[in-house]
Amino acid sequence: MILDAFLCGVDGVLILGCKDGECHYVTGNMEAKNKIGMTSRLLKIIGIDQNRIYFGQLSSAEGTRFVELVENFTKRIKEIGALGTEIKEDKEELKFRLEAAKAAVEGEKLRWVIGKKTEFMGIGNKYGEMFTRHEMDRFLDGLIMDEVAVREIQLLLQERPLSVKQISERLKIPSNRVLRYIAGLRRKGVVDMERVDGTSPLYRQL
Amino acid sequence: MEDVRIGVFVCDCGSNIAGFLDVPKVVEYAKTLPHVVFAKENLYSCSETGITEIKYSIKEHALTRVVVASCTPRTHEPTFRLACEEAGVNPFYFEMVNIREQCSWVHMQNREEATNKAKDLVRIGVAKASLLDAQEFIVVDVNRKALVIGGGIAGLTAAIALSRRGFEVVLVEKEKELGGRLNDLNRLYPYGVKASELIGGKIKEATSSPLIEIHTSSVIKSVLGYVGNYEVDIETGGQDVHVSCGIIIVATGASVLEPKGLYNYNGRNIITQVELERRLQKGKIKADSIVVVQCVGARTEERNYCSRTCCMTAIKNASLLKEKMPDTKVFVLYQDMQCYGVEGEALFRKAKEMGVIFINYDSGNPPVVGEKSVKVYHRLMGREMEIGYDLVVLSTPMIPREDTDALSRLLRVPRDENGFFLEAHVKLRPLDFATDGIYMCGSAHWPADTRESISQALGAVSRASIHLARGSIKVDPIVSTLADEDLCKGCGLCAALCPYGAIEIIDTPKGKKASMISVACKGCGVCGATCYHRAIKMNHFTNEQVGSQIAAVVGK
Ligand SMILES: Cc1cc2nc3c(=O)[nH]c(=O)nc-3n(C[C@H](O)[C@H](O)[C@H](O)COP(=O)(O)OP(=O)(O)OC[C@H]3O[C@@H](n4cnc5c(N)ncnc54)[C@H](O)[C@@H]3O)c2cc1C
Ligand code: SF4
Ligand code: SF4
Repeated sequence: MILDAFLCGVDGVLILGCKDGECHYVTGNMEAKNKIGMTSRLLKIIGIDQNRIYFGQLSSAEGTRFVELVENFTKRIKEIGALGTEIKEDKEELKFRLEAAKAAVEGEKLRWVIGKKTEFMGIGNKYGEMFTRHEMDRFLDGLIMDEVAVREIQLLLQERPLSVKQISERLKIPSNRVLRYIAGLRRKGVVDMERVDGTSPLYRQL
Repeated sequence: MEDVRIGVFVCDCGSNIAGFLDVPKVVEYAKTLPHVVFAKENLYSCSETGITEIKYSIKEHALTRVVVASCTPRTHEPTFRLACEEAGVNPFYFEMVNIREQCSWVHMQNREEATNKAKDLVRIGVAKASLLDAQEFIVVDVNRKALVIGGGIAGLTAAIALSRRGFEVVLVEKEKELGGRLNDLNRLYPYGVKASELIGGKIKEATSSPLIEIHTSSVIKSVLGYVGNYEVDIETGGQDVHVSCGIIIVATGASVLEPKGLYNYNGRNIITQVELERRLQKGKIKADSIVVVQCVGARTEERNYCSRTCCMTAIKNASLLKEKMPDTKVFVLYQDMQCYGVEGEALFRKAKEMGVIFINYDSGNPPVVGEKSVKVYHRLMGREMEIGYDLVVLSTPMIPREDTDALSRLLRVPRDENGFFLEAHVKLRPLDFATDGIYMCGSAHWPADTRESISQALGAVSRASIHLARGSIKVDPIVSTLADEDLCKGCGLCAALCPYGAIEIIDTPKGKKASMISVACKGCGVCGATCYHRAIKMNHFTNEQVGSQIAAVVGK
């Protein structure tokens, strides 16, 4: 939904929720915080200013704080400027990246990780390992980067078959990483080799 | 597709709205929006005249969706929904737009911008209205039997109160005997009642009631179901018993901290309040000097709460000892005396009059219990004292029972940061769990004395009786539904995240699938925002509806 809003062309998304422990729906604000945190990391990874998303927590009795939050956010967005100014590319590229990001957040991996984030950090995973915040963040960043790249590759291959080299140049990702992603996608049966062009194979989305 | 015909009513709210923005302009604007076939200004939409006008227009213009732009839905949404229903439009084909609290009242200084914002808000509301679905209210029957877990003073009081109201009760107690902590106690503050008399009377009434079925030496094995229809398995003396009930009251009480390794605790001449109570019950204590230490293992870094009952217990027992043995010196070493209530304060004063000596110490500089004497820095006098003793009594706090974690998992209810059961709302719903149909009372929730446990038990019974007496529950259908069974892969993520235990993963001929328990669902939307197969639909807040509102924000 947040990414939909960006795709609709808004320049910033401010989300307000209750303070920790005061959620009408018990854990709703924690879930929201995790999801929004991830979405803002995602923006950063696709080259968009992550301050375009802000999650504020306040109670319904804090009128002045509300005004303050809204005004600060508006000011911040005005400073950052219109959506897309930061990536210095055309509208199509912006849309392409946002679509890939959206596909990534809608995917299985990120939903599980975010869904279970509190648990990972609280009582550890099922092997009894606890993540520190820092480890969790690093792990998340890596995961998000992979997920976005995979979705971008899929979006590209939907249009026409491409070779690893072409993809690597288009997305500015080293070819060994692209190869790894392609191998993963082939295993899942969503991408396959179309034909061999000269020496390099071309892949397509099934 | 059906013909979507939207009617928009913009309310003046007297001058509350019309005084600060241009209502006729908003009405004209509404007429230009897609699907809007009718728009009108009302002086007061919620008044008799306003409602009649809405109903009349529904008929006159064959409206199929209604949007009212007025005040907060908190007060009048039900009014308008009813109006729709009476005019033959499904109540969930109604959408409310708040242009008072969220517009006219906050933009009083700027008429033009307020008008523009009202137009935006109406556009967003209309966008959603055009995609609304009809819904039916959900009604489920309630099984009129109750389950009470824990047979202490709180659980017994609850069971008896329920039975007096004519409801059947199953009472489950883990121990061989009913009675709980009160079995260990001598006399009770504030009135000096004998604990055995109080609890004995309750046990007698409960065991002789034909409506109360009691299982001692029993534990809860599994809990399935939801408000109105719980299915519970109980293991009682190696046998399994099945109970179907409509509500559950948790009255499992608390443990008391055993001060292992603190203040040279040994259980002989350095004992806890609980051990003192048992000795007082038997009536044989001989000592010339008794030192009582408060806040042992409480209000520390590890356990930062105050257990509320230990100060009054100390005062009660110090007075009893002084009464029995006027020549014995009794010292109470405390940080702050927690004697809330008129009776508590009076007992504190009386203890001082009887000659109990109260010595204030600082948590940063706690007393040291030696072999024959206690050293303490008297904070108010500003000097160190040494007190010889025959008996040291340590006041330790109530702590959550060891099995609260297991029970909270079985019931799928939360605990607070200290491990006690957590209420739905500290002020508005102090005896309810967030999950409907499960209630709590007594020291399972938080350290409580006997009187508090009793009043909480009566309160919980009163809450539970609402469902039991009505015999059915009607809930808003704004809940999650498994919109597409084929899309669901039964992965269970939604069930794991639902804070209300409203989703079960069940076996179907098509494999494992999520199954929503509509009466238990609060419509929080966590599951819908999580399912990556898009199998879940949030009624009245579907992706399409909310998406259309977002698009409408930027005018798309
Ligand atoms: C030393 C001391 C002195 C006190 N003095 C006073 C006083 O003078 N005046 C006063 O008003 N209060 C006093 N209190 C407080 C009083 O004891 C409590 O308020 C009271 O016992 C709370 O009752 P309850 O029913 O909530 O819990 P409990 O008395 O603890 O009873 C809970 C019952 O539930 C059972 N149970 C637990 N878990 C399960 C399970 N999983 N399944 C089934 N059954 C279970 C337990 O076996 C127990 O029988 C004192 C407390 C202490 C520790
Ligand atoms: S509804 Fe979605 S999240 Fe829930 S079990 Fe099915 S696939 Fe998993
Ligand atoms: S909407 Fe919330 S309460 Fe309802 S089933 Fe989904 S997660 Fe549970």
